Amino acid sequence: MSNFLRLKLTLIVGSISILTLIPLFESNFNAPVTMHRWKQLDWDDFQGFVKPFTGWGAGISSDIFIEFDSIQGKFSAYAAMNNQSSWKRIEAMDSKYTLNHEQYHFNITEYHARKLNQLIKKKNLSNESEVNSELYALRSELRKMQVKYDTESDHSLKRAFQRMWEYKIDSMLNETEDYPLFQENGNIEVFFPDKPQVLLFSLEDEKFTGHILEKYDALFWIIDMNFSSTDTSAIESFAASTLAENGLSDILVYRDLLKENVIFDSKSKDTLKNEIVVDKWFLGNNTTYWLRNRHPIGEENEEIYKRMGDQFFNSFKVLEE
Amino acid sequence: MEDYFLTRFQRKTRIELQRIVDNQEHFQPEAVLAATKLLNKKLSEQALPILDEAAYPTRDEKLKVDRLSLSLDYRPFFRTLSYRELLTSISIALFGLAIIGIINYYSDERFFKDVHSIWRGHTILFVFLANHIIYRYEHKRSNNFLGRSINDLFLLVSLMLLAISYKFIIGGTYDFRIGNGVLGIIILVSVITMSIFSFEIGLGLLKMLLKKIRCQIF
Repeated sequence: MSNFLRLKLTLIVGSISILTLIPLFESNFNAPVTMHRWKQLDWDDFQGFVKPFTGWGAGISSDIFIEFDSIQGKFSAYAAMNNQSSWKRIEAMDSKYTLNHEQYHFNITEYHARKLNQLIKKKNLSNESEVNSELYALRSELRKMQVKYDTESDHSLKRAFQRMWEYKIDSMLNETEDYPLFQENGNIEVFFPDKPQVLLFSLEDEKFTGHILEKYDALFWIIDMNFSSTDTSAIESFAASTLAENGLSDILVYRDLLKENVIFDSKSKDTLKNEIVVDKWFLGNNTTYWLRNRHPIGEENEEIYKRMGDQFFNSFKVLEE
Repeated sequence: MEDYFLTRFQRKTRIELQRIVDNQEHFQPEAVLAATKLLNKKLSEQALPILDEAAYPTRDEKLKVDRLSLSLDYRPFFRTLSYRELLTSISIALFGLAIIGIINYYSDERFFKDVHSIWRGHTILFVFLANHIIYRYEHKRSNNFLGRSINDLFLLVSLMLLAISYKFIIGGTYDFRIGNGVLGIIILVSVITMSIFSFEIGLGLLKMLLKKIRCQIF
């Protein structure tokens, strides 16, 4: 056998082996697959074969699928993850942070599945090829967003960017959610990217109610202060002393930059928790609202967290009575 | 032993003897030596050039067409065309697909981050170049412009067919449609032909450069 023939046969056998092994690795050697619909994931959902020589802790395979309800005669889309193509390394199993990164990949898929459902509804699509055409377009968009998420967060290694993406994805997923706030006098609107908890807050023996969201290494709250006043100097003095009493330092009060119904605006530091605290007091119809955003100190990440806080503050609206 | 071959090859024609000399790796050295002697003898008797003029142009013509390696003579390529070219195309196409498969599989890894598309492009370029390199070493002569272009077409068709078959085997879908009917096909064929010719003009320049530095590899 000539050397060239030997070389060519070696190339053919070697290449076919590689081309066979790749799909086998990806499907965990054709193990039975369970497709998990969108949910909160845990590590047991990752059953796949660990990618050889990988530098990452885990990988998720999720996609959008179409189903047809023959009774209603309607198409609908759903997001699902393939448990045999999703894998984790044993070392990663202690990390909730890594699992959270993968969860948000799944959330991106869910967002696009919802988007497709909206399109089906809006365009009243009842033909399979029309639905598939929209699906292909959305899949391309989905892939781009997944890559962008991984690139910007560096596969979750850049913590601040990871948190920014979580905020962004939650905001997109919950865009249409309407969380009821202050039901008794519900005449304001403020955007929380995820469902806030009810907050009971005490100040000088007085109790106040509000809503709080602690997520993305940040805190967002809104408290109803149960008073209405336009005496900005008195409010400033009260608010600043409250901040100081709560152990905050380097309190900066912005008087000249007050906008619309903002009656107090400050930025301070919590040196104990190493956090920046931004407070804004807004004038409502019959009361005053205290909005707060806390986030970690860090020059590089300051802008990212500031953007989240600004979005929270800017979303505050007083509704017409 | 050489005498034995001299006797045995006595009745062979000039072309048959030339074929033995051209494909000497398949013959015993004594047979090649005998064929060369007989060939030289026949040539001195007939005062004819060693090779077919059409297949191998005269020195002046050769200089003209080889300046950019742009010879359009199809005969040298088809004269030696055999299963070897087909096997080269299939093996190199499979090798290219395997490399691209690995690149895709590891495309989200740190070492391929941002550059996996460039790697894919380089792999395609490499397989087309490797096709010509193997041709040169296997045939012990360099392929001309048209020969290289036809070889490229073989490889391209092999790549496409193997990629489609692979997708089909692993259960994927391959959505390949040509719009506008016959016009679409004509446009596609023109684009492919132009791309191959442009690529080969580039390679012709590279070949000329490599010749100048005495490092011709294809």
